[in-house]
Amino acid sequence: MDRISDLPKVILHDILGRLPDKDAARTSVLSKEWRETWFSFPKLSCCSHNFFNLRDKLDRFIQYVSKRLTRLHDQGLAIKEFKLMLDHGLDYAPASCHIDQWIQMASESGVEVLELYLPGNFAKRHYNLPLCLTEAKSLTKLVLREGTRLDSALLNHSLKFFSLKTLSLRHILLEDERIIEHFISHCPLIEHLTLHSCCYVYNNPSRGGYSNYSSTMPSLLRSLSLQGLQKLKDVDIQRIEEVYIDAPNLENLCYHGHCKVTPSKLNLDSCTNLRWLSLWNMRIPNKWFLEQCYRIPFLESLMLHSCSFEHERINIPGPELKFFSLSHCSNLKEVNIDAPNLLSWEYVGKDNPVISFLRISNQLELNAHYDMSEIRHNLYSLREFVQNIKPQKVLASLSLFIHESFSITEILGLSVLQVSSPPPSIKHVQLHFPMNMEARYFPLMNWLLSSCFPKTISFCLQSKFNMKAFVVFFYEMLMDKKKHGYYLRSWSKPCCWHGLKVVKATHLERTCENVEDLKAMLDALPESPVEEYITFGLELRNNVVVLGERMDRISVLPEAILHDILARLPEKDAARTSVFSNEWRDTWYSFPILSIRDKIIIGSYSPQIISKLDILIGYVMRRLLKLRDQSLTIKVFKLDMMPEHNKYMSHHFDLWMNMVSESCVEVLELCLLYSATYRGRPDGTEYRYDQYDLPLCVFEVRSLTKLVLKGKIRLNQSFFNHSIKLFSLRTLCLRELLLEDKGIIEHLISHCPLLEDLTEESISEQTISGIIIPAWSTKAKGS
Amino acid sequence: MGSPLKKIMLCSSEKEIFSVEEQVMVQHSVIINNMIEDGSYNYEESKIPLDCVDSKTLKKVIDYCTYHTHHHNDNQEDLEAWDAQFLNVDSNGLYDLLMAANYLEIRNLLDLIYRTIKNMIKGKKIDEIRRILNIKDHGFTPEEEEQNRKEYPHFY
Repeated sequence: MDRISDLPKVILHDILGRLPDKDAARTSVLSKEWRETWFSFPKLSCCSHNFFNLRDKLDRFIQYVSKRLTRLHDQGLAIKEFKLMLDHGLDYAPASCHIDQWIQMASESGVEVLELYLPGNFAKRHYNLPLCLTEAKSLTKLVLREGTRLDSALLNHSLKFFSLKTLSLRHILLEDERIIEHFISHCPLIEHLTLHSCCYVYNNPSRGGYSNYSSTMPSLLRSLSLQGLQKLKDVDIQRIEEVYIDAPNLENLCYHGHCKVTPSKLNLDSCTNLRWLSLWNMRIPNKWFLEQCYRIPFLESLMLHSCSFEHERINIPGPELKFFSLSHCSNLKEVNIDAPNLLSWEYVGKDNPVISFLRISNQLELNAHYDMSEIRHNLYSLREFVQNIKPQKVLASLSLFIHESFSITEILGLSVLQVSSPPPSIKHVQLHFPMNMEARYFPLMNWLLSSCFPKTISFCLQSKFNMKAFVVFFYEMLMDKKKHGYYLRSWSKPCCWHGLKVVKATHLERTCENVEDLKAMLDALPESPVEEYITFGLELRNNVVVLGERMDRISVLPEAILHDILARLPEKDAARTSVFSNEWRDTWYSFPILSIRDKIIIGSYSPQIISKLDILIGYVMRRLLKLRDQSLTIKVFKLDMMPEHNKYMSHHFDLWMNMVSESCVEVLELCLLYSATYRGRPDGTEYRYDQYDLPLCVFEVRSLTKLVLKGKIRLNQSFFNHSIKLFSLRTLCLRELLLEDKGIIEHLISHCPLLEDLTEESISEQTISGIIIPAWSTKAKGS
Repeated sequence: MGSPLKKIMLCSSEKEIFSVEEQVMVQHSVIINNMIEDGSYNYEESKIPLDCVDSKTLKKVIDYCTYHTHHHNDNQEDLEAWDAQFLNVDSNGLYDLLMAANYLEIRNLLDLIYRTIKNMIKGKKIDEIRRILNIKDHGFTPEEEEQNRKEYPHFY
């Protein structure tokens, strides 16, 4: 009833193809049918290690491979894949003539995938790729890893790699610098190209089989030029100094530089469709880098690893950039990135560069790995690192590393971090510290929590860090401070983290309820070399605010209360709170009532008013943007402008109206005054000019309850064709407006179902011809 | 008023118990009013825990409520004088009172404190306000401070 073995060969081969090599090979001893199936299986993956663990069994291995290949070849069956992997250190020189034969058979049997891995004694023994392979028209993938040499005879040979899509050459030896370019130029369909550390040597005394090169040291390939490769999509190149790539459809490039000292020459001018770019171990000229960024508009992922830059400051524009990783890049002081679509940023390093994001998406998360193991790091480094990330909210997690040899823990014993403002808060912190001396527990904890305030904190339980006792100490300190009053008293100043408590302690899936649980759990853990973490969720105790030595507790009241206070202050005094201090400024910028009075913000009229207008514009934009970025609503927007200003402002007004409308504003008041002299003109010519055409977006704000329009504002005829959505409007006040049509107001009112209070005063009508019809007034209460 | 006045118990963060006339708190605190109304308070057993109000502050809050309950018929001037005396505290005390009034939702006490803070700020010079509010470290870098002075000279 063994029906499986009766399945068609094709299906059985499919099954074999899905098994791990070793298990697939073992099927050959299941039964005669399976053996038959196995020997007709066209995919050969021959790894000496898998088959024989003993080195002296090489003969049997050779026999076995020969047997399988010969059977297929002699029966005229296809050999689709041939992968040959020999054990490291195996002396396979005697096998080389067999390998020649095997490749010959594979080439003749329509081989599609050929992989050779023949690690030998590099520079001494190399296997010469036989020329017969060049006839393998069916080859789609060729992988040569270590131990293979490409003969200069290839140069005079026409290669027939018409189907080759993937070419990977790693650590192979070239007899001539030009071979690779020659090779690739004969692969019109190539899509994936990998070249790692290919070397070349000149003189070649012997041919065939293995040759001895002890006298000549190979040197790295110096330059590479890839031209006119329309299909090329992925390129991975290591250690070639000069690279020129002309491949218009290239999407993915990974370039591993030659060395960090001399700048590599990488020319990507025509690769405008690149999506993923990684640069490793390369000295990068800033100008070149910026040019590349502009030239590659669709770049989605950028990775810079162990690179050094010519200048300390880099700018990275990336309109489509989504992922960015910067690791181990030295000598960077400032990174400015303008990538509005960026989702993730990874930083790994020892420096604390200023990282600023110009435009950011809400989803952006920065994950940092900060290594503080060098002598130059001091007590303030961590705080500086966190504060140098702007805006701070993007910092999602921070992993801290300190190695045994390091001196932070030494310094900690001597001095205290002196800070007066509350530490910046951060979502998650991970600690990888060696904690050997109990005397350092408190200084370390104090230093950490004065440098940043983590929402969750994880301790690495790897045995080399010896953290268990520290974890318990940390927990006890936060949960039951009185016990450790000694520490608090002996410290000269109150700790700024006194209000913190642990709300949750978890390890894997388990949650600990109290100190005894935690101790028991930690004790029960085996000493393990793997990275495991215990995580605390931290929170401020009710009603306790993180305080340093500061006494101005009013400034740290909850935002809502401070906003209540601001709302009660006269506008002028409220605006002035923004310069009291940092906290007051933040409070001011999240205050949802915007009353923009030019007199208050830029002072009264003066001849240099235009330059001052920029201040006003900047100020309003800043407030609007900050509210928008924090997704806060704008409840009230009042604009009160002197007549001299308005003529320069209409496009700014439009933008503000737009932003305000999008933010569910409830009260909108616009007052654009006429100057006294304007009003005096009998012909009313000024009325026609300098009028501000109110954008229609204002009339789509469903949340609006009060709308006041006064002064040089015009409602134009496009109004009639617009559906007005002022469903919540209760109060409407229109004064001294200019209408293009008298019917506009009626149209407006008819769309405000809840209107309770209506004031119309001195409204003029301007016909299309520009004649002003005298003003009228009405006043109505309750509709 | 012949029957003994009902009392309720309030418990401060230090676990000190304060016994207050029910009427006094119900009249002033929205939150306690709600608690009594929905019947969740048991006169025999319950103590209302106010974990975020310390004893000193709670005592002041009770003083305020008691005085205003019993003297609401006094003339306005006397009441204002009493309020002024009541709020003669440092900015720390003001902070605690404000947090407590906010938590217990005592509208008229909140208004009173807001008015006081408003008077601390209104029309005064920046340096003076910083002194009154006890802002020792304003957190601006010298450059930012310079920038502020340049942009808003009329604030200073």
